[in-house]
Amino acid sequence: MSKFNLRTLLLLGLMLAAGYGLWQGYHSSGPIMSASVSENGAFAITAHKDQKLILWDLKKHRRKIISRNANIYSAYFIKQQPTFLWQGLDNVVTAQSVNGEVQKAFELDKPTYGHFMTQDLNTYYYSDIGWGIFRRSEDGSTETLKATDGRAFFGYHKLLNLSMDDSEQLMVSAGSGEPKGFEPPYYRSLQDVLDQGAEYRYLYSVALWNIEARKPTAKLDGNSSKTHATLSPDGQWVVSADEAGIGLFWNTNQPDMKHRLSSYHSGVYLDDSPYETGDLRNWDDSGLIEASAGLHTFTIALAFIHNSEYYLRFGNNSHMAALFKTGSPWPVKYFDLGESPKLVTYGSQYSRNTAIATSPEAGILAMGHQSTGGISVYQFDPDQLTLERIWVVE
Amino acid sequence: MTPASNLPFSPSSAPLGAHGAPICAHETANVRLQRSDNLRRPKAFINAGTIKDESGHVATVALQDGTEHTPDNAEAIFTQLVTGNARWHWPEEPEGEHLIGFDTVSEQRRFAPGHYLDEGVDLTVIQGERKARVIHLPPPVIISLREPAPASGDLLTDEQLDYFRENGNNALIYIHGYNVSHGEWGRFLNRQDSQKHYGGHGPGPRTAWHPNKATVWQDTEALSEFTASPLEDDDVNGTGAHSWAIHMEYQLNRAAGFDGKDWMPYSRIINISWPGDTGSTDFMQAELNAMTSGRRLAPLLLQLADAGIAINLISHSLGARVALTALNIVGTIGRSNLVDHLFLWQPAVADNALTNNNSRDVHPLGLGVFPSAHSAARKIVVLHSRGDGILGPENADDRAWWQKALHHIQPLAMTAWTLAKADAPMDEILGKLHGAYNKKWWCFPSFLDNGFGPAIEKLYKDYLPLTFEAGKTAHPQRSAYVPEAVKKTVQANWDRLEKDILAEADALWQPCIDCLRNGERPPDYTLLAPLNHRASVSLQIAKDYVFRLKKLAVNGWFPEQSPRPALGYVGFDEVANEEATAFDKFIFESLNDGKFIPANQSKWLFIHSGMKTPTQELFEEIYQREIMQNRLLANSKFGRY
Repeated sequence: MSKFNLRTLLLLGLMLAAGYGLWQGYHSSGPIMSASVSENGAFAITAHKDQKLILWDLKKHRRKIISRNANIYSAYFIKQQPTFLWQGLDNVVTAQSVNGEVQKAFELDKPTYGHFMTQDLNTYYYSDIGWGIFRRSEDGSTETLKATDGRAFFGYHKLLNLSMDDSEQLMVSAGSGEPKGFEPPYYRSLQDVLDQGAEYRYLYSVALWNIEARKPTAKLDGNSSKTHATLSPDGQWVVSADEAGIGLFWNTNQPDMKHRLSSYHSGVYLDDSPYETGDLRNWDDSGLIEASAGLHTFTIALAFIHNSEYYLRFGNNSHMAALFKTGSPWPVKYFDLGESPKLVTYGSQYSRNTAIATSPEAGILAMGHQSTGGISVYQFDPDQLTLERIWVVE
Repeated sequence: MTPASNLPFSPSSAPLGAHGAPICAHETANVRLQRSDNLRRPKAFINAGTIKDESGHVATVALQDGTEHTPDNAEAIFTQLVTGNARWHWPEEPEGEHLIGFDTVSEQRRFAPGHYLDEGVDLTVIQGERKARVIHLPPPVIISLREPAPASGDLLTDEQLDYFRENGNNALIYIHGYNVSHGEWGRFLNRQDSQKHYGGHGPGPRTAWHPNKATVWQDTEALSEFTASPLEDDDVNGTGAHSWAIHMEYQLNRAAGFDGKDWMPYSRIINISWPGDTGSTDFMQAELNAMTSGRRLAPLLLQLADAGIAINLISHSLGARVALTALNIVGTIGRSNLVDHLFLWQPAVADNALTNNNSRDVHPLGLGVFPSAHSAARKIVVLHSRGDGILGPENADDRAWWQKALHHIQPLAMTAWTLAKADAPMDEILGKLHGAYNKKWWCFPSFLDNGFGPAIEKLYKDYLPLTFEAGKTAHPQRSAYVPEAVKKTVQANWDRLEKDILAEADALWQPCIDCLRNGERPPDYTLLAPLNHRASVSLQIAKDYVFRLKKLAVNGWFPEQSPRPALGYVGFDEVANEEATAFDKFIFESLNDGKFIPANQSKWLFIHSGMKTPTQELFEEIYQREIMQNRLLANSKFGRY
């Protein structure tokens, strides 16, 4: 072969490689930052670090890039609707059906750091960089439920996690937990927080809100540091866990009564135990099941996986998830989510706890990966109590 | 002269006299100055300075003899001043009591410290008497634990105690870290006499300073506008512990709401200066010094607590060992919840240092944990960062690199020596050693004085040799024939040392307990200095210590175990992991209880000493949010904020 032909071939090869690289770059995506699963479990919407918004068909195992300019924290499926919500980098919020039909669009004055919308698409709630909470009505007017506070998101490197029940009566917010205060007068009540900063500016801890009344009804204390909390679909339970390994739950009818979740090896910490710190008698391990290796109590997120009955707790730097049943402190079962590809639960990525999403009605769990743009999807079986990985895109 | 005026002179603005007479009539009047601090408490004049009146006459004043802070002593009356414009110059005595306010009936003026020094304070002498209140900052508080001092020298004076009592009834104590010299205060720039460079024709460039010590933070960059070349921060904001004091106090005030202009709410903190500057890598000696200092700090905590003053503690780096020693001691004597919050900022102590269980200690001499420290604080906030290049990284790759280096000591030593000599901030030098903290027990290169050998041999210099290879302790592998005479000498030295150590333990056991119960400074252990973090050392503990020491000596002062990773780097990740071998139930429980609070700063703090001149992000998120807003202002107090 002549020297000329060789050179041409080489050039062609290089061009092909470059073209493939460009094509790959165009179609691949950064790690998932936020995710949401449709109530029927058929779709997931994900927003990625490179601003792509992807709709995943979980039945047909297909994906479609909806936008390349999406707010990375804006992927959200509206409850009981085949409609997802997202925000563009131009701050326009769009409610869009899975078949592409735009059902609602409006412009916000700021990027959202977590949001949701009522099923009738009339009322929109969102958080901002300063962990404010705002309510936008159908007429476009906005009111502040919780005042924004500087750049709290950067401070904790975590979103103010928001969740709402199916009846759209209750909301839970969770930012940074407030461990038990000192004895009075040091302890901060809801009123004290309000006195410290207007419009509950400093309400970082887990809080239960009455959406209709547009104000918090209970400050749910006991967590520490970066805290995730979520509300059961029926609005009966709030479950929380945090960076310090504290897991708690409350019945929303008795928000003053805090219950502790069991750790995986030590059991339930007894708050009122008369013994000194470190005494084994401070722990009740009577209901513990045999632990699996790789369980970590430092928690990234929790998510309901079967209606309001079962939920999963995801540990930091762990590929294990613990199954809990509402109303009980004891773990029911441990699931190995798979070591490869590494999940978003690795690397203390509390700011990406929104990359873990479920449909409690369909028993579907979708999770992002640690450093690549893929997704892992799991199916929960409430009868067999199994969690099977049904689809992995690396 | 106003720009609109065409006159070649400036007309007098002085009021006319009682009968409409101009000032040439030399009508005279008095100026009565009342001195107070920013709590509006009377402060005695030591030197009331001078007033230069409109005629050019410079008046001084004869003061009362008393130095007590009574209203009479706090008053200075200047007489025979010509009415009209005048200037008051005050020499800032006592030192550090900067002028921040000048209030008359009609006007409240506020100054940044030092700003009036150039021109003095202008005032108008009115007929009859001009009354004014001159307001000063209280002096800074530095407790130096560097030199031997009587026990009272480690405590606050009655005056200082009163200040903290009246300034919100709380005190914040800051303890600096490793390798910080005592240093000195900064200075105030004399802007009038400083000159920029004006090309070839003007006066030569000159930087002039006022003789007064500056004990508060100043914006070096902004001041450099007045000088020919950029100013050094050390000149303006001091050096060593003084510089840390200035920076931390200012940032904490700012975080609490101080606007940088009105200094009236500005609160002084208590700064602890301790001898952690033992050379770039003599970490063990610095640890011993930290414990001796912590022992001296304990009575100060008791003094504040007994006065009913709320205490909050912030320590940086190895300052954590000073703080934890003091708390361990007061915790041992049953003074629980003495301190509201202990903030351990980038603590250079083991990640299990807060356990209550001595058996968890992996330190070969038993100084790694502080089993009673937890009980002396209501809450302990651990600010840690994986971005800290001094305290980490604790990863296998890094260790492997250093382990490989063991076989190539010479090239490594050369690199380390070059770094140590480099004209660069200490953080940078230590940072280049890829996590200096993790090498703190290493015994090479010996000329860098790291590891156990140098500090122990200094401590027991009267008992050497304690090994068969004195002077070559860094190389235990060089075994060779040891003459019988040397063996006998070593054995005799050990016998003598053991006897003296046990005697010291026996002699100080009860005095330590008695002193602490009375809130007095306990005696220091000398031979048992590595156990100075204990309130007292029983005979049994002393015997155990000797056993550990011998074991270490047999191994050429080389420990069998690696140190635990630094708490300031890993936080509680390992000790609170139920499946880890290092799992500590007590720490796990204290986290569950909300007593220990981790605050991960990995996203903002990338430099070990980054909090001294914080980025806006670090300032907002740690100073403002984590320390002030969420903790001190919510659950405790800081000054009068």
